[in-house]
Amino acid sequence: MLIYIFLMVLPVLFFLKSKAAFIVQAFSSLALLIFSAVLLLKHEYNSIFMFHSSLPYLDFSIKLDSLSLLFVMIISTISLGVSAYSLNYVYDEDYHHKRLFAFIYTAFIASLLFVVTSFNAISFLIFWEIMSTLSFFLVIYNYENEENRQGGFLYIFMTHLGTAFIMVAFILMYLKTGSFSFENWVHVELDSSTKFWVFLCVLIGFGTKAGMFPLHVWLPKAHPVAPSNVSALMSGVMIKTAIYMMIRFYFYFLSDIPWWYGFIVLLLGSLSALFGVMYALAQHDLKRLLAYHSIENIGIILMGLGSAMLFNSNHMPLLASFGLLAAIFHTYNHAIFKSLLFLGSGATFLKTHTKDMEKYGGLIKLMPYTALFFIIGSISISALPPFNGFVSEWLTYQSLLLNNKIDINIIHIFVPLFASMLALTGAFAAACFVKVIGISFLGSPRSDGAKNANEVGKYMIWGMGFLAALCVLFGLFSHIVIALVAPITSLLLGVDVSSSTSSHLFMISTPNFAFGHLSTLGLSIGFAVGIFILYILIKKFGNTKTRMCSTWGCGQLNNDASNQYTASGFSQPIRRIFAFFYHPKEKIYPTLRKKKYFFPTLEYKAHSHDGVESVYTLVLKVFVKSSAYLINLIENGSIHIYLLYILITSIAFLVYAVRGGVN
Amino acid sequence: MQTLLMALLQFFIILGISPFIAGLMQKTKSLIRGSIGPSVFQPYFNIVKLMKKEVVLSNQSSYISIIAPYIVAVVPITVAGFLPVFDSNTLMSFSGDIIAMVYILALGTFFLALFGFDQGSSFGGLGSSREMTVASLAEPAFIMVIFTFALQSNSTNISHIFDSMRGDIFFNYPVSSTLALMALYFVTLAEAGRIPIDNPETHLELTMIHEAMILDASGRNLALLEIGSFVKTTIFLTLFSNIFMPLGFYDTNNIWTIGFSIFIYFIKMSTLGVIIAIGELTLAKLRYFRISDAMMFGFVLALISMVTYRL
Repeated sequence: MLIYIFLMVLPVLFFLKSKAAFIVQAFSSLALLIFSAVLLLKHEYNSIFMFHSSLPYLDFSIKLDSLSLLFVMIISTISLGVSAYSLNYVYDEDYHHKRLFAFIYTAFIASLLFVVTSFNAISFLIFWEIMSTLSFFLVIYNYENEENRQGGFLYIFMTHLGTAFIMVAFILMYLKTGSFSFENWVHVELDSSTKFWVFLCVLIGFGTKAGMFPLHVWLPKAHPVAPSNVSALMSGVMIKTAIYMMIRFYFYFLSDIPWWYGFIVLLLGSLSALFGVMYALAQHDLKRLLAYHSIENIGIILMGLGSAMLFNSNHMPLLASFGLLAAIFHTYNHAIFKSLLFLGSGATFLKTHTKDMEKYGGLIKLMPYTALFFIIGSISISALPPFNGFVSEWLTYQSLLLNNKIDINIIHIFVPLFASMLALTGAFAAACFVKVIGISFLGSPRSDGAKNANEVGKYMIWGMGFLAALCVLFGLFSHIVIALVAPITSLLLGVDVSSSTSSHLFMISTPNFAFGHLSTLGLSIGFAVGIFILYILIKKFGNTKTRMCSTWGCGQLNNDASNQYTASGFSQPIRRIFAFFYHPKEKIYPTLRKKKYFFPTLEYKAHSHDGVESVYTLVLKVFVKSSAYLINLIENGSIHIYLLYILITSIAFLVYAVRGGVN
Repeated sequence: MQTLLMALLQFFIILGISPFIAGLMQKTKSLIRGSIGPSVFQPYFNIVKLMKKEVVLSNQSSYISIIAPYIVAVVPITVAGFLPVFDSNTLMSFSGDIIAMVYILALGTFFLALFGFDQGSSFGGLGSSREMTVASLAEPAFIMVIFTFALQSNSTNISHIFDSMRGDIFFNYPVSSTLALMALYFVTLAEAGRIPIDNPETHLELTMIHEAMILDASGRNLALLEIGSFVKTTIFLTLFSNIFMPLGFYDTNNIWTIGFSIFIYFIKMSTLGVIIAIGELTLAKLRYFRISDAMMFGFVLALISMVTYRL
C-alpha cells in the first residue's frame, strides 16, 4: 500500500531534472500498471490507508478496491505511453520552463491517481481541485496565445460549476449518513427526493467534467490548445475520472434507483454521441476534431452505463454486469485510442507547424510510423473490427438489444432508436476518420510544412507504438479486459461477468451464449487466411507487375496538390444534408476588389456554429446585460446618490438600534 | 468433418455465384433495353482478364493502395462465410453475429474510401466523400432492421435468425416483417450501389459514387475491388432472399435435398437479381442530395416495423 503511494508521488520529486521526471514517470507507471493488474487478477485488494489530520473532518483515506485499481491501470497505461512520448516531444517542441512543465505534468498524473483512489469525500474534493487546477495551468501553458487563455478560462469556469454540483451531492450524502467516508455511503438508504437530487447533482457535476452533452462547451475549446501530450492525458484519462465517480455513485452508493434514471443517462449518452460526432465531422482543426470525438465516446460510455442502470433498477444483475462491462471496456479503449490519436496529432503538428488539416497531405510517406499508428487508432475509434473499439461497441449494441427484456414500453420503443443513433454515430466516425487519414496522410503534400516533414524521435514512436499495440491486443484478446473487469462487477453487482461472457476460449458472448457471440481473433485469422490465399492466387496466376506514373489530371498538365479533395469538401454533403443542425454559413467572395469579368481570385469560407454554445452565449449575455443594468441603476456615478445611500443606511441602523435590535 | 465440408461448400457457392448475379443483372437490363448485351458469364472473364494485366499506380500513392484492394476483397468474402445456404453450420459463424457483420462490411468501405484518397486525384476524394455519406445514412436503417429481426427471433446469430424466419415468425408478425424487408431493400440498394442511389454503369463526375473511388484502380487491384463489390451485392441479396423467401431445406444429410436446396438458392438469387435489374430500369437515379430522403424513408419504415412488432 505504501509502495503504491510512493510510486504515485515519486516522479514529482524529480521535477528539477525534467528529463529524469519523465523517465521516472514512465517507469513508475509501468510498475503501477503491473502491480494493479496482478492485484486485480489475484483478487488481493481492498487494502486501505488512513491518515487522520488534526483538523476536524479532514481525513485522508486511500483505498484500493477493484474499481479504483482498474482506473489506476487506465491512468498508468496512458501515462506510460504519454511520458515516453514527452521525452522527445517537450524538447522538440521546446516549451519554455521545462522544469515547471515537468512539475505540473507529474503532479497532474499523481493527482489523477489520488482522485480515483480517495475513499473520503473531503480528500477526494481536494485532489479533484488539484487535478482541475493543474490541468488548467497546462491548458494555458502557452499563455501568450489569446485562444489558449480563452479556452483555459472557459475550462476553469465550467469545471468549478461542476465542482459546485459535486459538493452539493456530497453534502446531501453527508446530511443523510453523517459521515464523509465513502465506506459509510455504500448502498445507503435515501428517500426518493434526496436520491433524485443526488442523482441530478452527480450527473451535472461529473457530466460537466466528462464533457457530456449539453455541458461539453469547454471541451472542444480547452483540449485542442493544451500541449498534445497533455491533451492526450486530459481526453484520455481526466474525463474518465468523472465516469469513475458516476459508476461509484450509481452502482455503489445509491441503491434501488428508479428505471428512468438509467433512461436519462442513456438519452444524454446517445445525444452526446451523435452531437459530438456531427460537430467533429465539420472540423478541419485536427485537435478540435479529436476533442469533439471525446464527447462522442463519452456518449457511448454513458449509453453502456445507462443500459446497465436500467438492468440494475429492474434487478437483473447478470445483464447489468454485461452493460457495465460494455461501459468500462469502452472507457479503457477510449483512453487508449484517444491518447494515441492526440499523440499522433501532436507529432504531425510538431513537424508541419500547423493544426489545419487542409495543409497536411502525403505524410504517410514522410512519417510512416506515425501514420501507421494513427491509422490503427482511427480504425479503433471508428469501431471497425478487429481492434478494441469494435469489441466494446459490439458489447454496447448487445446490451442495448438485451434492454428489451425489461418490460417497459418506453424502453421497447426508444432503445432501438438509441441503437440506430449509435449506428449513425459509428458510421459518421468512420467517415470522419476517412477524412482525417485521407486528407492528412494520403495524397500529395498541400503545403511546404507538409513537404518538409520527417519522422519524429524514437521515444515518441515508442510511446505511440505502445498504445497502438494495446489497441490490437485488447481487440484480439478482449477476454483479458473482461478478466480485469470481473472483480468490479462482483463488487458492485455481486455477479462475476467473466464467467458468463468469456466462457469459451477466445470468444466473448452475451450472458446467453446462443444469443450472440464474437471472436475477433477468429475474424482476423479469417482475414489473414483470405488475404494470404488471394495473394498466392495472384502470384501464381495473375500479373504482379506494377507501373508507377503521375496521377491523371483530366488532361491538365499543372497537376499540383490543390487539385485534391479538401476536408471541407469531404464533409460538405453531410453539412448540407444536416443543414438544419449545422446552420452552415458559406460564402464565396473575391479576395481583391475585382469585378467578376476580370477573373478575380475567389475565396471560400464555410463556418458552422455549435448550437449549444450559442445558447450558452445567449443566456450569459442576458445575465450579464441585466446585472450590468442593475449595477448601473444603483451605481450611476452621481455622488449625491451615493451620499443618499450612506444617509439611508445610517438611518436604517439608527432605527434598528433604537428599536432594540442591539442588546 | 462433414460439417466442415458442408460449410466450405456453401461458402464457395456464395463466392462462385456472385459474378454470375452481376452478369445476370447486366444481361436483364440489356435485354429489356433491346440490345443483346454481354454474356452472363462476362464478369468471370473480366476478373480473369484484369488479373492478367499489370497495375498502374500513381506516384503519389502509398502502401494503402497495395493493401486496400486485398482488404476490400477479403472483407465481403469473410462475411460470405457467415451466411448459410443449406446448412446452419457456416464456416465463420463462431466468430461473429449479425451486428458484427455490419461492422465488418464497414471495414471494407473504410479501406475502399482510403483507396480513393490515396491516388491524390480529386475523383477519388469525391467518391470517398459520397460513399461515406451514403454509407452513414444507410447505417441507422440497417441496424434498426437488424434489431427488429434479432428481437423477433430472439438471437443475433445469423443462422438462427434465418432458421426462425423459416419457421413461423413471418406469419406471426406479417406487417412488421414486410416493413422491415422494405427497409432492407433500401439498405441493399444503397450498400450495393444500385439505381436509384448509385449507377454502376456510369462514369460521369456528377453522378458516380462507387466508380469514382476505383477510377484509378487497374489490373489486379481493380479485379480485387470488383470481386469485393460482387460478393457484397450477393451477401445483401442472400440476406434478403433468406428472410423474404424462406424456402429450401436446412440441415439435412440427404444429398438430394441438399442439391434441391442449392437449386432453390440459385432460383431465389436469380429472381432477386432480375427484380433489382427491372427496378433499376424503371427508376431514374436520384439526385445526390435526394438520397438522404430515400434513406430517411428506409429508416422510418424500419422504425415503424419495430413499433408494430412491439405493439
